[in-house]
Amino acid sequence: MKPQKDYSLRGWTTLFVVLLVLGVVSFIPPVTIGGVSLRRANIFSDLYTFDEIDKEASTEEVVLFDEAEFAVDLEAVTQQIEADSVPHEVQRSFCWQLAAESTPRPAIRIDSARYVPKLTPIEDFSPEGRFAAFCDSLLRADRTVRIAVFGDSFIEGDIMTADLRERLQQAYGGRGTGFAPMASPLTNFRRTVKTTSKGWTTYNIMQHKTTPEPLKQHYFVSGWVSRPSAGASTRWEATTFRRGLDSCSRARILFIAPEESHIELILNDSLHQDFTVEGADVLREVVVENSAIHALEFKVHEGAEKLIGYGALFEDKGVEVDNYSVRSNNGQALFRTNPTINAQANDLIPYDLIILQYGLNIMQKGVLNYASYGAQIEKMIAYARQCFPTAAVLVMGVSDRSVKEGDGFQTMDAIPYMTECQRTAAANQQAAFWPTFDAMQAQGGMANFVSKGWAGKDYTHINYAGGRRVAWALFDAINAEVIKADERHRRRLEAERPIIDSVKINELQILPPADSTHVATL
Amino acid sequence: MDLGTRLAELLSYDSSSPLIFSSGLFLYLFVGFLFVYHLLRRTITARLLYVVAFSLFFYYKSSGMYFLLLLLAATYDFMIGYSLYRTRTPWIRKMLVVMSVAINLAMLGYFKYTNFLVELSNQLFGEGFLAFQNIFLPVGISFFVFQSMSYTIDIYRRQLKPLESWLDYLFYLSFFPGLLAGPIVRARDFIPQIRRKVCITREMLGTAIFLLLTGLFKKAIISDYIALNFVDRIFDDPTQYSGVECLMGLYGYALQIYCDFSGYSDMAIGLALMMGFRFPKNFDAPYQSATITEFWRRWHISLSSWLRDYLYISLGGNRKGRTRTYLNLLLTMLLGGLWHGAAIRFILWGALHGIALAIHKMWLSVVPGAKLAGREMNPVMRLLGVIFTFHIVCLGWLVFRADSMQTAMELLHQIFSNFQTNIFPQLFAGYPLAMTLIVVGFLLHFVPQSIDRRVEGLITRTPMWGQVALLVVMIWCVMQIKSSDIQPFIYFQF
Repeated sequence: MKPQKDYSLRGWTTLFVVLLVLGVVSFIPPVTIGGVSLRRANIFSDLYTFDEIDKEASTEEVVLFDEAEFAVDLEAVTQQIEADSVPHEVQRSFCWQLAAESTPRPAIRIDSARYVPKLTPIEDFSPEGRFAAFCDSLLRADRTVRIAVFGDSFIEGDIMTADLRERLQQAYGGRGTGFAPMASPLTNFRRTVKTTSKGWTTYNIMQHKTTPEPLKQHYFVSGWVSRPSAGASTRWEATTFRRGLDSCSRARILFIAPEESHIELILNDSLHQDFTVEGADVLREVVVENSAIHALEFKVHEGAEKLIGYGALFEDKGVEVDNYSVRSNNGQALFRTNPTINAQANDLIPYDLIILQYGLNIMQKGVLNYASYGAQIEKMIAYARQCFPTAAVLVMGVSDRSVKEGDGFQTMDAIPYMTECQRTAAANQQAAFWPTFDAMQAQGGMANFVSKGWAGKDYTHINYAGGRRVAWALFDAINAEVIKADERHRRRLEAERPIIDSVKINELQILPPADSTHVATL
Repeated sequence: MDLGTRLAELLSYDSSSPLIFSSGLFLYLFVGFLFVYHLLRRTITARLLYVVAFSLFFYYKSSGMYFLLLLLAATYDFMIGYSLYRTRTPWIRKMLVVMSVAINLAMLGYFKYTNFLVELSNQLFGEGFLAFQNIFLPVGISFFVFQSMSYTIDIYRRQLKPLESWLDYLFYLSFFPGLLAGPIVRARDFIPQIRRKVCITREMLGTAIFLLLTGLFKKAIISDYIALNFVDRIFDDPTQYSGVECLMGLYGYALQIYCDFSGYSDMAIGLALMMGFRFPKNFDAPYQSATITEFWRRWHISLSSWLRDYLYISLGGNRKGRTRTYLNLLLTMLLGGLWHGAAIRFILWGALHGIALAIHKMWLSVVPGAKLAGREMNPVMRLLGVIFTFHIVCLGWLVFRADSMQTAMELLHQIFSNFQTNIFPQLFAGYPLAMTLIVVGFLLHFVPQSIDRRVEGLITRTPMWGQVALLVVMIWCVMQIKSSDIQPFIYFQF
């Protein structure tokens, strides 16, 4: 038998030539062919890397959104709010009180302990302005101190806000999960409240174009509207996902009933209460007060055809944090909300702080100029202030995001530019600013978040564990401002003390009359 | 950093970057290795020493000083095997084989299952009952421990003559193509090849290139891309996705795990062929199976046949009555599940397969005309069987992949209560490459084997420049996929 030819050398030669060809191929720079970007294929990238000139990065302004689509006339907004703010004859608030007024809020003891080693401070562009007033309220207001967080999918499902709420409530009092929509396809995702809805058709503000009239005109800042069918119901049940969520003392259900409606509430699956609501196109609330609200069910028996459901708020004295997130929103959808309904909401649930968490849905790799978006952020701040005039505004800078570079991941080049754009907008509007990117970088950045299981593999979205890290950093920053506010308050008291201090007044009286400077300076 | 320092760093132990076959570093190291291997092809001992040294370095790169474990395992099992063959007293022989199995299982148990047992104890007796240990898990220990046990058990069963040389045994145990992820090559299949003259036929080279191409495509293109850009996200939090996305995520995982595992096996078999060694087939289009029994004859064949020969048969197999047969199947699959990893979910996965195998065995004995495999069925029954078996296997993958039972239940809840069929077209528009790869992956999986063989033959007959071109294009595609932008999160308006 003829011995078989040995191809072992040919095997080696084949692989050697493959390596040589790939070595030559590695000199081909990145190209775009027919709209498809081809990367440099560098087989020796472990040993040698090429200095790529990023041709995509541009400081030129590029069109990122349709300015006409998101145009907003702020004067018209003011006029609309003023025109619609005439007192309504109808009853707007319905109360089902099962417990006496809750006890006064206990005195707050400030704890300066930090949850994240490195502090990423809040930059307040209006020192001793609204943000300082919010800090004072956190410390001293004997009421519910409300925070609304407007955001996108980064905080969807109560991510980040769950832990911000927990920390703030632990430090400054309060219970309850805040706002929970009437119905949403994402209710299973949210762990801080269990929502079971039946018979509702729900739209969110990113579906503005396809939302039927008149629902389209009735979005408020929550970004969700729900239309019931007869007999529709929603049941919210407290969870123990974070501390302070298992029960609360007050719940509010927000809705609009343009026609007379018959609704029913079931508290803790045992107590029932019916309400007949006179028809009016105005935001209404049913307030339930009980020492412990664990579960609440809302049923629409009559008047369902035109009723618009928003959701419920679960709160107590102390801090309440509402998560108003809609995925893929870059913040400009705020202009599609109805300012009158927002203002009516502010009458019922006046906010102390509004946090704007946006930017991820407009930032793009290689785009370094966000001037036009910056102008829109300024309008968002102004719009929020028009609707919620007592609230301070805090702009959260864009979060960390990594993109593929070669085999590894790098921070997206646009982040510093977007952050600066948001900071400038906050400064121009004398709002407060918090650089989320810096706070995440201080904890290892997105690469570390992903490797620790705190963020998804898209290197963009954090999960509850990641949200906890961001929330703790934000809590530390807020707490630092509260400490400053408390110091200012103490100084003010110190300064005021001699006037009411009888000993000092007596001392003044024995001062020589010629020395009038002391008196004047007191 | 200069080239020398960088190279030294690259060649040093780094548990986070093992020398995987689809990396550039492995390619140029292997080209260099193969050149010297070719030069040494006629000097057997030098060639064996050279391959052993490279294999130990290969293991050191991912597991550091734990390469000494390989030397240790090679030493005691070589000695036990040597003694077993020369001892005629039954009880001493039995004691020797028990010693070999005990040492191997103790080593595997210590490195792989200590913390799992600590966790179980703490769950039973309260937190802090036992302290977690800082134990490094040497890569591939499950594979080489099983290989080593097959050697001593085969000698005990008088199915194999022991090796005369410790070097030969170390060569077998440490042979790098199958060291990290199999296939589990039996001693009796491999040993006869060790000192055989190196001769690579044209067919062997053609098959090797074909397997390298398919392996790279499956592992580094399909599996790596769909895992990062689609599947992992679904399993991270199914409640964020509609039922249709969750179902595609589950199907995607079925494809991902197959492509990952079989692709790596293909590359290992191809690399071994380029060195003149034949490994047994490890995967045989498993999702074409029309029954669960057939699935286990096509999936990870080297493991399933190992479990059959050394565990199921040792337990009594089907020789001790029906009930005992079912129990043996269940026990074998439970332990097989545990072999995959130290977690309850792997045991549950094993239990599910064990129960399914037992039910199928019972079905075969009770239902007249019931078939063992698809090729015995008519086309309609075969198609129904394939669909049914695939979904049973997917249910198993759900338990296998989900990090908790809660995640598994959430994913099922989304599929059965929030399916959202209307999203299906959007899914293809939103994840074009991931969906295309999933569809292409499954289509290729169902390509008849005759076509596979034809393509393999075509590659074998292709001149060298053609083979070079095919490999260059495939590696270039791998690099493009590796460096491609991550698929952004898609917000379907449901």
